[in-house]
Amino acid sequence: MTFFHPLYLLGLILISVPILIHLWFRRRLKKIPFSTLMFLKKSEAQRLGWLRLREILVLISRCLFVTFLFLGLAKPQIKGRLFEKNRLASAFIILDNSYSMSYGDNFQSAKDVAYQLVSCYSPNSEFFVTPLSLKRKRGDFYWMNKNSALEVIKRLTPSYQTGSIVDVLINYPVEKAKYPIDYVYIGDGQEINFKDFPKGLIGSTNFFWLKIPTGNNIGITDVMLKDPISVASDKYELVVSLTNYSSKIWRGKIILEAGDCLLEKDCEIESAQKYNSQFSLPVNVHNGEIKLLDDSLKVDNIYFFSKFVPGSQKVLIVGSSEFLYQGLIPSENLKVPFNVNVLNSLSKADLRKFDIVILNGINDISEYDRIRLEDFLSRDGTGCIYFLGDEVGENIRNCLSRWIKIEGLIIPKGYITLNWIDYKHSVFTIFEKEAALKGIKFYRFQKISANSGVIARLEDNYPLIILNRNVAICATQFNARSTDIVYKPIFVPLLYRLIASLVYRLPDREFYVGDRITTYERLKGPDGEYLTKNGKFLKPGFYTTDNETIAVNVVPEEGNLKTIKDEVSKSLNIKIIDLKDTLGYGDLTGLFLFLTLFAILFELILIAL
Amino acid sequence: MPAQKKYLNPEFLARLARLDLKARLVVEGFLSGLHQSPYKGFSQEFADYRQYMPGDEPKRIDWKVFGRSDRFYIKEYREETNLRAYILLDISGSMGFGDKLSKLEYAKYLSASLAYMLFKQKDGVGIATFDTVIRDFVPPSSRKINFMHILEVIERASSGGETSLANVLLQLAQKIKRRGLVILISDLFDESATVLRSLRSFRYRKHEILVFQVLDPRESRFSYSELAVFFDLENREEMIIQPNVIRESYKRSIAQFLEDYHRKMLESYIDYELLYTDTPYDKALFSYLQKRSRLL
Repeated sequence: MTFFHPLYLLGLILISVPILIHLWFRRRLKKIPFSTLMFLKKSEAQRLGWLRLREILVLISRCLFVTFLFLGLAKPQIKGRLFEKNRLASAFIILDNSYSMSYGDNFQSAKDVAYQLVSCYSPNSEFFVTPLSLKRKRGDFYWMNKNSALEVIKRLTPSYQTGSIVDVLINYPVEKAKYPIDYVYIGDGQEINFKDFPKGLIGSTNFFWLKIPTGNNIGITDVMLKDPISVASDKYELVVSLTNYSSKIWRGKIILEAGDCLLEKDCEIESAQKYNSQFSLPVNVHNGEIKLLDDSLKVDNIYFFSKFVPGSQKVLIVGSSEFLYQGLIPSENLKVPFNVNVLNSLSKADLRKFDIVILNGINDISEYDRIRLEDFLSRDGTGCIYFLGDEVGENIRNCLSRWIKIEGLIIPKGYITLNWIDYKHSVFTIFEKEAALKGIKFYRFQKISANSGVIARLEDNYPLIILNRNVAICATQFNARSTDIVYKPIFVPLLYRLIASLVYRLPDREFYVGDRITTYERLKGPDGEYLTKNGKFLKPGFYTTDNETIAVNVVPEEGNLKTIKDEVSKSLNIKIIDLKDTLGYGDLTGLFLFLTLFAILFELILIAL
Repeated sequence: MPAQKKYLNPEFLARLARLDLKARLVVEGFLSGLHQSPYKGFSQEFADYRQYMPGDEPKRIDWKVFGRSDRFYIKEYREETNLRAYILLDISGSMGFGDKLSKLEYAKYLSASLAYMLFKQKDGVGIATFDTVIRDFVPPSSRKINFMHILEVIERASSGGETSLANVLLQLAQKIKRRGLVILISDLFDESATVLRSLRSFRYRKHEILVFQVLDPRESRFSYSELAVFFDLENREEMIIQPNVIRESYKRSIAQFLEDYHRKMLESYIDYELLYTDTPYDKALFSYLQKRSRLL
C-alpha cells in the first residue's frame, strides 16, 4: 500500500490520546473500600464480564477511529495493477493536459495514474514523458530515468489548448530504445486528441490508453449571426447553438453579457440533442460572452464572441430589375438591409457609392467599365453578381475568364432542374431540410465550365452558381423567361444569402486557443500580457489591438467532452485500460473514511448498550 | 429518649474515648431501662448495699436501712454461678468497613459491653480475637484484672487480614475445653456451610452459642451511585462497578446470604442476631440476657 499524503500518518501518534484518556479515566475513578467483593462477583458475574469487555471494545473503537481517520487522510492506494511489477520497457508516456482534462479532478487523477504507472516499471526501464498539449516543442527527444520521469510528471500543468497524439509523436521521433517500447496515453480521449491517428502509426509496438473516466456535458457548439446576415434595423440576431452530450436532460440558463446588455434565457435540452437559442443585440455591440450555468467545466462554456455585424448595403442593379428589385425589396413598408438603385447602363453609375453591383442579363460592358468594375471589386466589402443573359459580350467574358469559360446558351426542351447543391455553403445551409430548391425549373442558361467555386449544378452537371471571393456568377438570369424561381417563396432568402455571401466574407474576429497569431503585430491578452505575431493564443478571453477586439475560445471539441468510441479506438489498434475497472479499488480513501464512520457508530452503540 | 438511653446509641458511644467507660455506660443505660433487675436472687451471701435504682424490685429494699437513713438501699449478694462466656471477636479486614463507625468498632463496643455485663454478673468471661489465626486469647475469669485484660485486648484489636472464619472457629473449639457460652461477633463473610460446620463443633462440646452478625447498612443497601473502583478490604482486589446497574442483583445476593445463615442457624439451634452498625446495643444485650436466662 502506498500513500499520497504520507505526512498524515504522523497523526497516528494520536492513537495514544484515547489510551491516555482511558488510563486517566481509570485513575480518576473514585476508589471505594468495600468489605468484600464476594457478592458483587456473584451477583453480576456475567454482567461484569460484559462491562469489562465493553470497556476494552470502546477503547479499541476509539483507537480504530483515529487510525482509520488518518489512514484515510493519507489517501492510501493499492499498488497499481496496470502492468505486472517491474515491467522492463521503454515507456513513452503522453499525459493529456488538454483543456478537457480540467473536468473535475481528472488532470490530478491522470497524474496520479502516471505516478503509479512509472512505479510499475523496473528501475532499469527508460522513460519519456510529455504533455499532450505542446505549447512549443521542448527540446529534443531523450530517454530519462525513473526519478526524472516522476519529476516531469510532477511539474506538468493543465492547459487551455487541445492536443493531438499524432502531433506529439511527430514532434518527438523515438530514438534508440533499449527495450520494447510502450506508448502510453493517459487521458480522457477526446475525439480531437485522436485526430489523424492512423492504424499502424507506431507499427507493432504497444499503444495503451489509460482511460480517465470523464462525464459528458453541455456544450456551446457555435455562435453565429442569424440569417439574413445583413442587418436592416438597429438590432441584430445572434444564434447560440448548444448540444447536450450527456445522458440526462439538461435544464439551465444561458446568459449573454455584451456591452450594457445582460440577457438570460432558460433552456431545456434532451439528452444528445441540439438546441438553438436566439438573442437580439444592438448593432453597435459586437463583443460579448455567453455563459452556461451549471456546467461541469469551468471555462468551456463561456463563449467569447466578436462578430462582424454589417449595416445596410447599397445595391446597384444594372439591366432588367423587374424581379430582382422586388426580391430585394418585397414591400415598400418592409424595413430591409438594402438601399437599391437601378440603372440601365453601368457607365452612368458612380461605383464608389455602392457596395454591391448586380449585372442582370447585360450583354456587355465597355472596357472602361470593366476596369472600373475590377477596381470596385478590389475594395473591401464590395461584391458583384453576374446574371448571365442570352448573350455575353467579350468584356464580360474577359472579366469572368479567370473563373469560368462560357460555352454558349442552352435552351433545353421543356426545363431542367437542380441536380446538386452544396448545402455546406452558407448560401444553402438553411435550405438543407427543404425540398423547394429541387423543384425549381430552368428554361435557358449559359453553358459554362468552372474549375472551382461551383456551389450548385443543374442536371447534366451544368454549373449554375459559381462563387469566388466577392464575385458570384449565375448561369442564367433571374426573370420569368429563364426560371420560375422568381415566383417561389425561396427566391427572397436565396437572393439575400447570395448577396450576403459576397459582402460578408470577412471572418468574425474569433480564434481558438492554440491558433497562431498571423494577422496582428501585437495583441494585449485578457490578463494584460502582450502577444506578438507568430505567437499562440494560450488562454481564452478577449485580446485587443488599438482598434479591434478579438475573441479567443477553447476548441469546442475540448470543451464538449465528447470522447472517441471504444470501437473506434479498437479499430486503431489501441489497447484500452479502463481505470474505472482496473483501479476501481485502488484508492482506499473512501473505504477508510467509511471505516472511520463505522468506528464512531460502533462506539455509540457500545455506549448505548 | 431518657438520658441513659443515649448510651445505647452506637454513634454517641463512638465519640467517647475510654472503652471501659463505654461498656459501663452501655450496660448501665441498658439496665436502667429494664423493669426487672437481672441481678435478682443470684446468691444468699451478702456483698454490699447499693442505692435503689428504678427497675429494682421494691421487695429488695432494706427497710432497716431506710429507717436509719431515710434512703432506699437494696442489698447486693455475691454471685454464685458457674457460667463461662467466651467472646469471639472477628477482626478480619472486612470488619474494618464502615464510615463513621466501622463494623469492628461496633463489635468492639458490643464485646466490651457484654464483657462488662458478664463481669458485673460475676460470670467468668474470656475473649479471643482472630482473623485467619487467633490473634489474642484471654481465658475466662470473673476477676476484675481479667476484665481489664479483656478490655486491653479489645482496645488493641484492629482489622487487617483476610478471613478464615471456619478454620479459626475449629481451632477455638478445640482450645476451649470447658463448656460455656460462646458469643461470636463477626460479619460471617465466609462460606455459610463451613462456618456452620465449625459452629456445630462447639455444640458437640456442649457449648451454648450466641452469634451476632454485624453488618454495615450500606452492605445490604449498596447505596452508591457513581461509577467507581471498589476494592476488597481483605485481599485488595479491585473491580470497576456501576452501582446503579448491579444494585438490585447485589441486594438479592446478600439477602439470600443472610437468609441462608438465618435458616441454618435455626436448624442448628444456634441463637443468631443480625445487627447493623446503627442498631442500638440493647437489642444485642437483650439477646444475651434471654440466652443467659435460658441457661441458668
